[in-house]
Amino acid sequence: MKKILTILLTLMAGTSVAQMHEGKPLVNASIVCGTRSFAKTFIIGVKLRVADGWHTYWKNPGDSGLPFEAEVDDSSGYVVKEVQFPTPKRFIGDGSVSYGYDDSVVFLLRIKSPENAIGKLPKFKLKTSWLVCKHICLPGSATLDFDASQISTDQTAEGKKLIDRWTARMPQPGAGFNLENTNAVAIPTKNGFVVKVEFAGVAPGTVTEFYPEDVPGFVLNLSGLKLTDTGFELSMDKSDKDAAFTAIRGVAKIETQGYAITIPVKQ
Amino acid sequence: MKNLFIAFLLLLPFMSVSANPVSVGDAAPDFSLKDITGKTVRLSDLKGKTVVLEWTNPGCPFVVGHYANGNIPAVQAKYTAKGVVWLTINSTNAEHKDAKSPEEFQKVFAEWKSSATANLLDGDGSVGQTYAAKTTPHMYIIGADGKLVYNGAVDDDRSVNGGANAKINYVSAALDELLSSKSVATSTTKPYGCSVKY
Repeated sequence: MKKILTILLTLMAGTSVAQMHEGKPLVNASIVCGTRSFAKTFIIGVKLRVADGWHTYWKNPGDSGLPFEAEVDDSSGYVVKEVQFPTPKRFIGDGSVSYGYDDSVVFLLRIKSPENAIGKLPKFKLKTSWLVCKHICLPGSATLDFDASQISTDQTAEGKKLIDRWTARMPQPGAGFNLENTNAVAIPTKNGFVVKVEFAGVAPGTVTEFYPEDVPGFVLNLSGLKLTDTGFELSMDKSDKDAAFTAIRGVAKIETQGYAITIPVKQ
Repeated sequence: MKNLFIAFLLLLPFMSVSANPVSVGDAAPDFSLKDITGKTVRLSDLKGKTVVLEWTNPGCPFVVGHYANGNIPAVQAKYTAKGVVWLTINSTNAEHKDAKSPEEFQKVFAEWKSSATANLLDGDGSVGQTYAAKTTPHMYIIGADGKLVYNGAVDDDRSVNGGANAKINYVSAALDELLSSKSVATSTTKPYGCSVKY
């Protein structure tokens, strides 16, 4: 408990908040805005700048960790409809795998405006939380004030550049994977399945990573995920005896670009 | 003999792909570890009893959360009173920042009001690796017949809030079922927490 109490969150200038550890900033959280147009829905970013050697987590954190979360924390009527996670990196521990981000990351938030505020300059409090790990793990949280009326044109232009850069790092649609013709089968095992996937639409050896999303009712053996020349193999145990699945969702990486794909699986 | 060998080869793809090296339904691997008072505890000596294994690390905020709000101690107290043996296991390597001496562990567990039967030290991580413990906490339950009946999370509150928002405590549910001579309905879940500091 003492360790948690030492993680003091110090209010810094404007919408930037620092999570401190041993007297130094560990995570700096800030809101990024790159628009002056606030329609029914709009996008803002939350940037986490993380100290060297530490990392935060993707929406499926893997075998350990917690994903970044955000919600509006007041009665303004604004709602976080979606958190978009950039393509992560894989971190390997002793027999465990996690997915996340070192250095800086910008999560994109799709915000829904209340009916009576569409087109107006929004103002609300955004409650964010994360887990940051290295040799130890520390939870962090920050409530960030977002007041569009206080953001200058220059700040908006800088914010747009950052939003655009991180939009490009979001997983893109994986149309080229020709998923309808992908050969994906689930072979029963003692406690679940092993899924074998052979991509049809990409050249052998080009998929260098596959980051699976959780499959409800199953525990994935992430440390046993094996990339093959043409696809991957992934074993999974049932956590719910009646669990069934028809597809594997995740992000496949080719060079530096991630592609969000849903692979139909035959059983 | 040749037929047996062919049968073995045919079974190989199905034998090598389980998500956990120790799967529910398997005999729980035996181990012998010293506890924080220096006493040796051997799993095979506990046959006939229901045994809970709780991988722990007092430096992990998920573990701290469960002890700070009394969630795990309450479950420990409830079920050890009913004859369940509850063993915490710490597989943190001796060089890690979270490593503690037996005396420090005694102090921590006393402060936390732990009701575990014994708190075991697995400094070389061999027992943790055998069970493929991935997180702290990571829970296993071994039935009276020595077979693994549960492997996974404490509960469904995947946060550092120590189960404050849990809809189900998987360990309690499994122990209730075992004590009522029922089979465990949810026998595998995804554990959550910090990685084990092997």
